[in-house]
Amino acid sequence: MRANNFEDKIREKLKSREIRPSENAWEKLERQLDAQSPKKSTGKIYYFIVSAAAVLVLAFLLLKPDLPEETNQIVIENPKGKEEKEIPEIPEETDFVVMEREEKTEVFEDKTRNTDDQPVVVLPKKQEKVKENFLEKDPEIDDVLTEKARDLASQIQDLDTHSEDELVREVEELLKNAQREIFAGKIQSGRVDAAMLLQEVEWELDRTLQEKVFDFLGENFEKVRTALSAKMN
Amino acid sequence: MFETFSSKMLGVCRQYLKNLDLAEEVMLSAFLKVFLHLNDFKGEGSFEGWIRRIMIHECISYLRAEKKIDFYGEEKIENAVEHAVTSENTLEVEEIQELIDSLPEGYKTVFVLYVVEGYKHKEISELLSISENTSKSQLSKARKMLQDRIKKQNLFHYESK
Repeated sequence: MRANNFEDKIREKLKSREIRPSENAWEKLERQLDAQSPKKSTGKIYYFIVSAAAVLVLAFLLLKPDLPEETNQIVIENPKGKEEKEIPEIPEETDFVVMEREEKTEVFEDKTRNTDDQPVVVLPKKQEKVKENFLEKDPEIDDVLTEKARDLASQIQDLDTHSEDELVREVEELLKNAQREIFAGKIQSGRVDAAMLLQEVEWELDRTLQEKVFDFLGENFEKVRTALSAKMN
Repeated sequence: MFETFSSKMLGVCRQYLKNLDLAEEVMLSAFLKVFLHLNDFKGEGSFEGWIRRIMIHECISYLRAEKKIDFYGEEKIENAVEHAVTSENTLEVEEIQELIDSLPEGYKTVFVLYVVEGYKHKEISELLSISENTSKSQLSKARKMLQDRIKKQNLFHYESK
């Protein structure tokens, strides 16, 4: 009983006791709280970064099936190396011949081999270059053609025909005769290879001569020019 | 909140820690936890009681970390009460604190938890990681020691008159 009284006294005294903290106690606590705050915010930032990374990974996994197609497109778009390997360089030799008569289909083919088994190589610039080279190769041919074209134009203007069809036939005949004369002269002079004439030059000269003639004749003979071009094609 | 409870809580911490500066340091550390865990207060019991428990736990954690509590073996009994303690009925709070401070840490902690805070031996045993019997024996020894001291002081006081 006595002990209990004693202890009650102790309890009462100690429970009601208050000790005022030092003046800077709050400042100390404030500093500790400030020191703790960055850790919390850092944790939030870390959480945000981890969440963003998870979203990106998820997005990557969802879009992954589309990636192989894109990769193939990239490979196709890279022309270097592959073209050099797959398409052999074509030498500027007579093995390759212009096969078409239209400008839109420009195909070169190796005539010395079996054409069914050979790959067709499309080289538009190459073909154009051959044509230009041939006309520029011999300026004398050009001069002869111009001379002949002027004569033909004069003869055509003097023609006395009753219809347009008759005029076309007459002009065509005059062009063929003039062409034969030019070829005969060149072969005799050795300036033009006979095989070349038969295979490609013939058409080239025929066409060039015709164009020159109608250039001299002017717009009055535009119908005849169209008719002849249609017959040639 | 700090303004309201700090004085009372420093009194609590002072019960367990003899040095007032140290008691304040531990109290601030406990208040830091209070502020950081305010959301953890579920409203069960009084808010002051919740803060008080945090203070007590912080003090005991400190004593443990410093290995100042030894419940086994003979502890050095400090030659404490130098001031005259006239009578247990007239004890002032400073005198009471001096008597308590004179007890070994183990005795003192169990005594304060049991007598002042009203903890049961089971709760004390869990809090201090000791057996209930150890808690009981520590309390008994603490009581006897305090009674002896008061008697001695009273006798000294009586004889000196």
